[in-house]
Amino acid sequence: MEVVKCWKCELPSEITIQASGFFCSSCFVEYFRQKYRKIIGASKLIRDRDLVVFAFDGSASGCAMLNVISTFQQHFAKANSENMNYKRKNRYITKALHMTDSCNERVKTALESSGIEYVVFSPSEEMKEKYEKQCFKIERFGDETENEFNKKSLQMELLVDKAKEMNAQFLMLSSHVESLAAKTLSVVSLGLGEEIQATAGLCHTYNGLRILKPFREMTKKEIDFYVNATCGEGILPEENKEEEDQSSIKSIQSLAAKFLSDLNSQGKDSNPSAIVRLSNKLKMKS
Amino acid sequence: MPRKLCERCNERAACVLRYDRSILCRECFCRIFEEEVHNTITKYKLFKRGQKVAIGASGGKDSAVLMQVMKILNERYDYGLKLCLLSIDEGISGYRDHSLEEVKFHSNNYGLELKILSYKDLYNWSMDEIVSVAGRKSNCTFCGVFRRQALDRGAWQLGVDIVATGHNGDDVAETVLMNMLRGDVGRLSRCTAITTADDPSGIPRVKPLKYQYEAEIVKYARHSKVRYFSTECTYAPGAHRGQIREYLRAATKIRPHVVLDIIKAGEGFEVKDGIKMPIKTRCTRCDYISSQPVCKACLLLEGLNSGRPLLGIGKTKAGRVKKYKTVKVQSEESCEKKDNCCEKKKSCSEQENKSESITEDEIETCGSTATLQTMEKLSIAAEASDLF
Repeated sequence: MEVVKCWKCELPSEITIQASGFFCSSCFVEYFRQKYRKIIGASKLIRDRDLVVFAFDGSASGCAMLNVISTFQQHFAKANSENMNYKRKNRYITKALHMTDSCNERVKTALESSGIEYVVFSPSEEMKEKYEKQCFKIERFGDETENEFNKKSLQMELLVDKAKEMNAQFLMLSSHVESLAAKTLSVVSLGLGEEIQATAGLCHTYNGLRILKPFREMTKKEIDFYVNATCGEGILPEENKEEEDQSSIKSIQSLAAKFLSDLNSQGKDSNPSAIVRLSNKLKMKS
Repeated sequence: MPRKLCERCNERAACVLRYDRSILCRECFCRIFEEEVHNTITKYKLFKRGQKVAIGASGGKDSAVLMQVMKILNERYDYGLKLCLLSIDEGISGYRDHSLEEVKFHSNNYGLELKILSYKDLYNWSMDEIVSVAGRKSNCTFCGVFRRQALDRGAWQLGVDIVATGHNGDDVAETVLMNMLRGDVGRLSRCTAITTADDPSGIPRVKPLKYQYEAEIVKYARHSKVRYFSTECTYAPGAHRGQIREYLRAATKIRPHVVLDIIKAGEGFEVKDGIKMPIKTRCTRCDYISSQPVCKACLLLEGLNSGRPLLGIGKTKAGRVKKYKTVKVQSEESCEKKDNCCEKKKSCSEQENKSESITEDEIETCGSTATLQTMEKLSIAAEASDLF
């Protein structure tokens, strides 16, 4: 039986990326990191000395992004210490931000081992009440869908406020293509077509702060593979949640995620990226 | 326990639960349904006085309800319209032949002129014959494309000013979701339009039932005793739309307003400036509006008639031939341009049977030696190029 070889080296391939090819583990890790770097570089949004705050949530994609950022920071620090004479581009400063009610040991370990400066904060009840009044909410039927939407909206409001307090220019999220596609589908199902750009676009402005999603072109499969390939470096991914049964799904967000996941399992894995790319092409009518 | 009274009239017992959780009696529900359709017609100015309107009638619940509602509203509000029925016989045995009986019944019942056009007469192919050669995977593509053209031709033959179709809110919401899943920006920006204004024959189409739920149309048909044919198309199972329909049904159970919300979101979409869109032109064969030199219907027919039924199905686009090549590249030692090989900096190393799709321009500028080999698939593409 023929073994498919990695496109970069001659080792047997371990992962297949649609439209990009076959990779072995180490070539894929390199490809993943360079893809992140290319997305940041090509966007030309971040300038030298900008402060980028990365919202770390402890998920697999969060761990992947933490690893990528810490790798690049170590590389830049080494280059700086060796006085290497090369063009310095995108020498932005990154700090991690973790919002929680009770800090998880696993998360703390991950943040400490990454070597990135981090802030862990727990918003007080008064703060939550204050921001609940001013953040964008839907209050038409008071169902589970609206509760989930409003909760996410409040979380975003709190993160943005904290990032602004840290004098950050950017807030980076680690959402991958499937999660963004599910969010886009649920936002459209709620009649909020104007949110499509904010949900799935690479960059949007929220309350004066720019929100970046550099993983919007990375699939869950790529992220899981990356995390498994690099988890020996001290970062452990979150355990996978069990799939919800159709009858227990109570919100549009969960239904949209399950629907896309079912399509993915039938081999229609180009749908999430098609939905996310729509945000580049659509705007709302004035 | 006493039965609940209708929320509108407070006199009769309620027997209909609407999507917004209001409960109504049969008479009030039917009246409200008709009023909602009337509001849609007047708000969007779908018809003008004196126009001749063809109702696309399949015999199913949507067109049967549309026939009844249009007749009632035409008399009640004196629209001054002349109504007639237009049916398309796709040639699906056990399905279309039965549903057309219902259409004939309605034509006699309402006293409306009926015109039936068949695929066999128009294209010399029935859907059963098409499915027998093309298989069941892409049959909806054939049916949809042919029916669209057939409706236009039928409307032209009847001499009508406008065609009214029974597309309901669920259909429009499903179309929005389908186009989102495909990333089809062009269709997404126009699929929610209630009137299509630029049909080639100059006969626009309208959707008076655009804001009505499919479940409510069924309830209206039941409470108004409208006869219709209720069996699903023989070739419908497995269609992609079916999966989206399942999603929409589950979403409606969670949040009943979801259909109208999706339509509202879809109506707000607009394509950004600078995004490349297909240019409308005319088919060189049948003069139908098309974004390609040959329209989809002619392309599909050409495929059927020439024994290549999948011509026009899938990613091969009419007018553009995609070439695959087997590239044999020189070894690193002999190649002088190892770092700057081609504009895209492909590394120069020995590779076996590596196929890439490269355009003709890249071949011309490429410094390394390359041999062109057309694969089996290309024979179809090459033959397709004979059309243009």
